[in-house]
Amino acid sequence: MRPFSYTTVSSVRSAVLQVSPDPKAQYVAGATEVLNLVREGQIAADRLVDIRALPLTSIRAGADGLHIGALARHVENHPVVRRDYPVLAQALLAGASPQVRNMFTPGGNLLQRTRCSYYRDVSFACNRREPGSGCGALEGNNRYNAIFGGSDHCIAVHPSDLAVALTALDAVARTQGPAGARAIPIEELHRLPGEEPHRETVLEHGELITGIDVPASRFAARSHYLKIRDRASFAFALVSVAVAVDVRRGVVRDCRIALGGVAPRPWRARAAEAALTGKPLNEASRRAAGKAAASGAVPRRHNRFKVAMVERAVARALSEVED
Amino acid sequence: MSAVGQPLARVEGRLKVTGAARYTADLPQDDGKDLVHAVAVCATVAKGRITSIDARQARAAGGVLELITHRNAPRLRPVPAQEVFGPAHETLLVLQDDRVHYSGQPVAVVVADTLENATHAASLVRVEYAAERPVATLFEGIDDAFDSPRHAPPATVGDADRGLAEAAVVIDRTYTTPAQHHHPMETMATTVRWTAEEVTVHVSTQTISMIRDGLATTFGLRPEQVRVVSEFLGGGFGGKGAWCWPSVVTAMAARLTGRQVRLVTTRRQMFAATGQRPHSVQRVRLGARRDGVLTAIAQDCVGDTSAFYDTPPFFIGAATPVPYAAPNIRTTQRFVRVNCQTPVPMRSPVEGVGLVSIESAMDELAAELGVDPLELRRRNYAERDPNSGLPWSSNGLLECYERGARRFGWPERNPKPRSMRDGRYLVGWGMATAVRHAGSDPTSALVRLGADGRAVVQIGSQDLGTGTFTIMTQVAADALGVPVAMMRAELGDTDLPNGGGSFGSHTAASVAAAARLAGEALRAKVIRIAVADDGSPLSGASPDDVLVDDGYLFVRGDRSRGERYAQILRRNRLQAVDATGEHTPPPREGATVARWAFGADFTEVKVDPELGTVRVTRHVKAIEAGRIINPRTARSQVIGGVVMGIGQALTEATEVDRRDARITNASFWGYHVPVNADVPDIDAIFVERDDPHIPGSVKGLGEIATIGTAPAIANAVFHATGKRVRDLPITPDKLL
Repeated sequence: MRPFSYTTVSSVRSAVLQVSPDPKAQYVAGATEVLNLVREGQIAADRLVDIRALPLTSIRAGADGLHIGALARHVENHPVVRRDYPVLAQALLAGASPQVRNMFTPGGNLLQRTRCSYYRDVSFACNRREPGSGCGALEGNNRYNAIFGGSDHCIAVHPSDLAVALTALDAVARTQGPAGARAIPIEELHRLPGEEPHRETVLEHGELITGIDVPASRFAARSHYLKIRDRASFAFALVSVAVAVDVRRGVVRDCRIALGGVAPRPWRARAAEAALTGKPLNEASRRAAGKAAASGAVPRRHNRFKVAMVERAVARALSEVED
Repeated sequence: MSAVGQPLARVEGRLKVTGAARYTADLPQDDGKDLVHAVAVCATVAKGRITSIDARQARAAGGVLELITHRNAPRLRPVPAQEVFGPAHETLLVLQDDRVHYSGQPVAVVVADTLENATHAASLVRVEYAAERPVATLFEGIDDAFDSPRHAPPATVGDADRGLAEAAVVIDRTYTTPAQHHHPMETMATTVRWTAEEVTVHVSTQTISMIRDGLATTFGLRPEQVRVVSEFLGGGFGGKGAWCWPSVVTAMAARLTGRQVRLVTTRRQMFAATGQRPHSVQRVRLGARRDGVLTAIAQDCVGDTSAFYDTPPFFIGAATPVPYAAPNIRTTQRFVRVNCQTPVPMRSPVEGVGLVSIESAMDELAAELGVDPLELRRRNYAERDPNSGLPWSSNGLLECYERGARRFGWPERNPKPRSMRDGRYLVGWGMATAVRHAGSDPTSALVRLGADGRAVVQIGSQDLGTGTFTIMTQVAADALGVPVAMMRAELGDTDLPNGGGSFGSHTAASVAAAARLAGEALRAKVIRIAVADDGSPLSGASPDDVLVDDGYLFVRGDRSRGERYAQILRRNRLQAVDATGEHTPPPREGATVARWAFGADFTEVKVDPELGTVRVTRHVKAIEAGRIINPRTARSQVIGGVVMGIGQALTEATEVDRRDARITNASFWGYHVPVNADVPDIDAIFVERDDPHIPGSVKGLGEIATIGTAPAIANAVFHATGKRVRDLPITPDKLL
């Protein structure tokens, strides 16, 4: 593999100082993703800066919500997460095998790269990996690719399950960069490809995700994650859905519906949320929300099935949070 | 007590679970100081010419010792085209010219001091191609499909067209099965040391003798100059049964550098290193009377083969005339040249592919006639082999049907599709028949008994991980008359007596037959020594009257007149005594019986009708494979076979971009083998039979373990949903 240097850091400040000025430097934590990317050549890092020793491992649950350190371990087992944010625990469990979950970090999970075949095999053309080289997926084997948010340059899908659940919870990533700290809604963390698919996130080079805030909400406790895949476990989503509803006196007062496996970033299905809000939660409203979620889809040759799958998955996920 | 038939734990199991077993990629041949590493650079076009190779950066990278391309590679001698199981399967001579025939073909090999340096340097090699338009799949080339004139025409029974014309009901359906890759856990690993005296090869292979003969032929050596070792294998499934490029290029690198060279293919390279199960289209027509009795079976297949291969590809319909007693049967196959690696056997190249369509069509016929699928098969049970007209050597199929159905609860099945439910899930029950030819290969064994009473059995065979070490031990211990604890097995080395390939479900039958002959010969040899020995209590006894039990030899009827093996050897000052056994399979020409193993699969699926997901929730497999040497390893093999069948039915397919003939899911996250969560409780039933025409009544299990599983699952999906998916695998999108 490409030779690289490896250093560890013990403070967020020194981490940012080391990586920011060096375009070939790259953070690494659990290494479940970065090491593969370096090995196979999707990213050309000369220097890996290991952040596992940073004090970012806490999980705090309070009246204002949940604060998850970027390096927190086993968030899915936290009792408050399981009770009050079930969609989060379910997405984490659906997201990886126990072996991977023993190693991965929440911050790194948000930044994992697409599983598009044409991105992952470096001998294929890919605008995301190599600007201007073309997109193999547009007319190729695009069964797994996007039906929302794609462009003529890229139809990659973001693979994170966690990010979909966090999007449905209005979560925010806290970051530290050379220009200071900021908060970025998870929904806005990833860019849509447009004409520049290689610019994958809004993060500056060297900007480090230090934690994730999940605000307290009236819908988080009544939430569910549904993932449809080609085998029972350890596969990326064909379609996934995170739903969270606030139902009072039989009527949906507020809700969040986010989709995975269908877009270059976690996809908020706002039309579905609008269709459901103000309605009682029943079969008709679930179906209507499903229809609305799939509206505006731009399927390709091999992924037309995702349109119907989204409709049904949304309806099914909503049935799981019905009384 | 006989060891054969006992559930002996794997004799090498402790080594494996403690990590003490050294697999090929773990093994330097001496202290390892001399070991260097090779990494292949593989073509990124599927057809064309190499126009330039810029290796300047790669050569300048750290630790690089050698860079091999077609310009400087040793010239190889052509390997004569052979049948698929011949000594050398792949006739392509790699790194010999600038032609590219498939994506993933090696175009350069980098040798460096460390694996990391070799991998990095390989990534720096810049290869330019003049790409040509490839034939990506058999669909692109189907207009050019050809008959294989070098293949014996398949057997025809009666007149299928007439049988179809006379039928009251005709089912006419077309099924497709995808290309699949074997994906043993252990990828291909080779380590070669090349000295003036000998070429020593450690390699993960199902056939050490094929690697020896293939390397000897290509490099112009005598076979006895090449020693091939393969002690432990992490699976193969057919993918390590063929002659393929990793061992050739590693030998080249060892010869050029004078160093001990290791090459381990990556998982991605496994999609072009070993060949694959061919992609196929199978049109089936079944003609039947109203009562379900078949009047005709016609099967017309198209399969792919590679663009460079000049040996007849195997014929997936070859077993089609076997399972059912139709008076008129015809099966044909044409081939399409595709820019892919050459198809190779995968856990039955014949029955595992060609019977998918037959067993699915039988289910369609049953539904059409309103006859229970199991009853339909019973009504068409063949009393003799319909293909050859010969009587079966033994046949337990009807008992497989009966015991499998009873264990499964088949009579409770509501025949109507979509009639059975479990909450939101639709429940489906399906079944299928399995048959597999039972054969063996010429095999030699040596058993040696030491003066300490311990013995070793040696055969140049391989253990895929299925239990060959263990069954050799059991059979040889019984033949010699010693407890298994006193018998040790050695295999996987061409210095040992010649064994055949570990494929075709032949290993157990071949190895058991040879081990038994050698053990019995040794027993007779020692008895002869004892009866001629004045100092022995057995002196003067007739050799025929000497019995052996637990290492103790005694005269029939007088257990007190006897002694142990060790005493005989020590008194006669013998360090060791040995004897060999030679198993020669009965010739297929002039056979008087048809030798087959049989089975029946019964399966339950639960389908989420809205989301299209399918789970296999129960599976019962009844198998008649003669006598089972070890029910524990046998059961394990059946579980593995069923899991592989689940993959074939529901998850596995090698995906090719039809524009450029390149595989797009060349990884374990893209190519879905079943995971634990996909695997239900699997129940294996062994219907045992004595077979007077097969030594030890051993028919072999490797392939019958998976044949029948995929069509049974596809049939269950139909029963659950009313929807017939004729294009495997049945992924959720196909059921929406």
